[in-house]
Amino acid sequence: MSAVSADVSIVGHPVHNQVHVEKRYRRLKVLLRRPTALAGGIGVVLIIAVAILAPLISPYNPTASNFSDLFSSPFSTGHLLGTDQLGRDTLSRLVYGARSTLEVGVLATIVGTIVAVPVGIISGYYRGFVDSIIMRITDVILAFPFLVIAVGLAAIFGPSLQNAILALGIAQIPSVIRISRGETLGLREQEFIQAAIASGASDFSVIFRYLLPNMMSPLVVQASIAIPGAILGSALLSFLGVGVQPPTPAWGSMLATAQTYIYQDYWLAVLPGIAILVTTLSFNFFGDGLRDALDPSLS
Amino acid sequence: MTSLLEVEGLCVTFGSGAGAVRAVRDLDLSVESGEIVALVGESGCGKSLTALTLMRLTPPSARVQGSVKYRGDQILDDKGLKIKALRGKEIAMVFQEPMTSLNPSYTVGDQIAESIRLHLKLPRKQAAKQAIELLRRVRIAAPEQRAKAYPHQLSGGMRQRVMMAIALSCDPKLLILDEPTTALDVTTQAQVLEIVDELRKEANTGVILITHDLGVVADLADKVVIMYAGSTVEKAPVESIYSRPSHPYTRGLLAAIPRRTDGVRKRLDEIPGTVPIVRELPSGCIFADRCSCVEVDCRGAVPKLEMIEDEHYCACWHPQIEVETVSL
Repeated sequence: MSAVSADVSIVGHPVHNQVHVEKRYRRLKVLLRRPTALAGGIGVVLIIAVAILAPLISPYNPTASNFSDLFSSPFSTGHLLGTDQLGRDTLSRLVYGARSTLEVGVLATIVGTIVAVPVGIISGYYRGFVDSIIMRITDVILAFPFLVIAVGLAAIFGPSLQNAILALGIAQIPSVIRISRGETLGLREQEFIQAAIASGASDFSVIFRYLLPNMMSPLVVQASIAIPGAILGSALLSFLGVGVQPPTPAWGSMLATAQTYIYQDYWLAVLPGIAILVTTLSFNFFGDGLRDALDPSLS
Repeated sequence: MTSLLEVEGLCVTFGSGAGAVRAVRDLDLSVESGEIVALVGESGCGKSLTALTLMRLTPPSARVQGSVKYRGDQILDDKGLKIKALRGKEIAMVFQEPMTSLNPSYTVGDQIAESIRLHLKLPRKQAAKQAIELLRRVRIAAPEQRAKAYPHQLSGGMRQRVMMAIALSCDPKLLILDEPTTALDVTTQAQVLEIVDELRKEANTGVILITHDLGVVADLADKVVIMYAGSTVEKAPVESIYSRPSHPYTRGLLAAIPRRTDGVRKRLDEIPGTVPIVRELPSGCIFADRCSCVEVDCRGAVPKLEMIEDEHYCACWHPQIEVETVSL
C-alpha cells in the first residue's frame, strides 16, 4: 500500500472519489437552498407518502356511502373535511385520489419517455430520411389536441385508467422526442462518440452506452416538469369523465360532481381543487429547482 | 510483398461543381509493419481529415475517391462495411482531444474493458483485469485505483494514455495517432511517444503519426509526408527530410523550430502568411504566395510530386537539392 501511495504523490493526480460524491452532494445542496425548490421537494415527498400510505391514513373507506350523514361540513364530528352527496368521507377520498392521480401522472410520463427517447435518439443519430419521417410524424402528433386523442381512445376502448395514461403519454411524446433528438445532435459531434465508433462500437452500444447516459439530466428535468402537466391532464380527463371511473376516487371527478352543489357546499369543489393546485405546484417548483441544480454552467 | 496499408490517389471532396472543395488531393501513402509514418503540416492541411478518412469517420457530405488497401485488400468500399469489421480490432485510432474523447458517464476501466469484451469476447472479470494491465502498460501509476476513476478526475495526459490503452486493447496492427501529444506537456509527451516506440518494436505495429511538431518526428518516424493545403508537397525517409529538405515549405517548417544556439534576442523564423482557404487556392503552385524563393513560372502550372533522389519525392518547380545540415 505504501508503494501505491508513493506513486500517487509522485504523479500528483490522486483519485478523488470523494470529489465526485461531494460534487453530487453540492448539487443537492444547491437544490435545497432555494426555498421554492425545498418547499416543492417537501410537497412531492408528502404527496407520494400520502399516496403510498393511503390505507393507513384515511379514516374511512373512500367508497363507503353513509346516507345518514350527507353534506356534513368540514370540521364536523367524525369527518375532518366533511362528506359528499353520498355521505363519503372527503378526506379519505382525497387521500385515495392522490393514488390514482399520481399513478396516471407518473405512468404517463414513463410511457411517453420510454417510447420517445429511443425514437428521438435514432432520429438525431441517423439523420437523413429517417429523421425527416420521424419529425413529420412528431409534427402531426403535436398538431393533434390531446383531448381529442383522449376522448377518441375513450370512445373506442371505453374510458379507463389505462386509456387516460395512454392518451397523456402520447401527448408527451413530441416534446421528449425533440429533446432527445436535440441532445443527440449535440453529442454525436463530440469526440468521444467518434472515438467509440473508431474503436469498433456498434450503433446499439453507441446509443445505449454513449448517448443515453449522457443525456440523463435534461431528460430527468423534462420528466419532472412533465409529471405535473400529466397530473393536471389526468384531473381534466376525470373531470370530463373519460379518465378514472367512479366509484374510484379521483380529484378531477370529485371536482366534476361538486359542480352541482357549488352554491351550497362549495368546499366539495374547493378541497380537490386545492389538492390539484398544491400537487402541481410542488412538482413544478421541484422541477425548476432540479433544472437549475443540474445546469452544467453552475459548476 | 504487400504493405500493411497502401493508400493511392486518395481524394476527399466536399460539395460539387464549381463550389467543390478538395480537402485532400492525390494522397499516396504506404505503411509497413513496425514502421512509423509521420504526416506533418500546419493546421488545416488535411492531416486529421486524412486520418478520419482512413477510418471512414468522415461526415456524409465528404466524397472519397482513390484506393485504400489493408494487407492488399481494398477497404474503401461503398458502404464502409469492410472498415467496420477492422475498426478497433486491426486498426485503432487515438484522437487529438484527450479532454473530450472519453465517455464522461463511465469509469475509464469500464471503457477499456468494453473494448476488450467487444473484440476479444472475454468475460467481464477477465476484461476488467486486462484493463488494469493495459493501464499499467501505458504507465499509469496505481492502475487498480485509476481504473475506477471517471474521466473528469484525470488530467489530460492521463486521459490521453487511457485513450492509448483503449487503442491498444486488441493489439491493433495499424495505429493512427492524430496529434497525440499536442495537448500534453513535454514530459508526458515523451512518455506517450515512448509507448508508441515500444509498441512498434515489440508488437510490430504500423503507425501513422499525425503531428505538426517536427521535433517529435525526428525522434520517432521512419518516413515523413509533408502536407500543405491538402496536397503532399514532400515525402521522404526521415533522414533525407532533415539533411536535404527540398521543398521551401519543409525548409520553412524546419527553420521555424527554435534552437538553443539562436540566443535570446533572435526573432523566431516564420513562414509569412497562413494556409490558403482550400476553396481559394491560387493557380500554379499552391505555396507560391508564401514561398521565399518564388519565381515567375511557379504561378503557371501545379508542380507534380517527383522523385528527386531515392525514395525522396518533392512537388516544387525549383527543389533545392544541395546538401544542408539542419541541426535540431
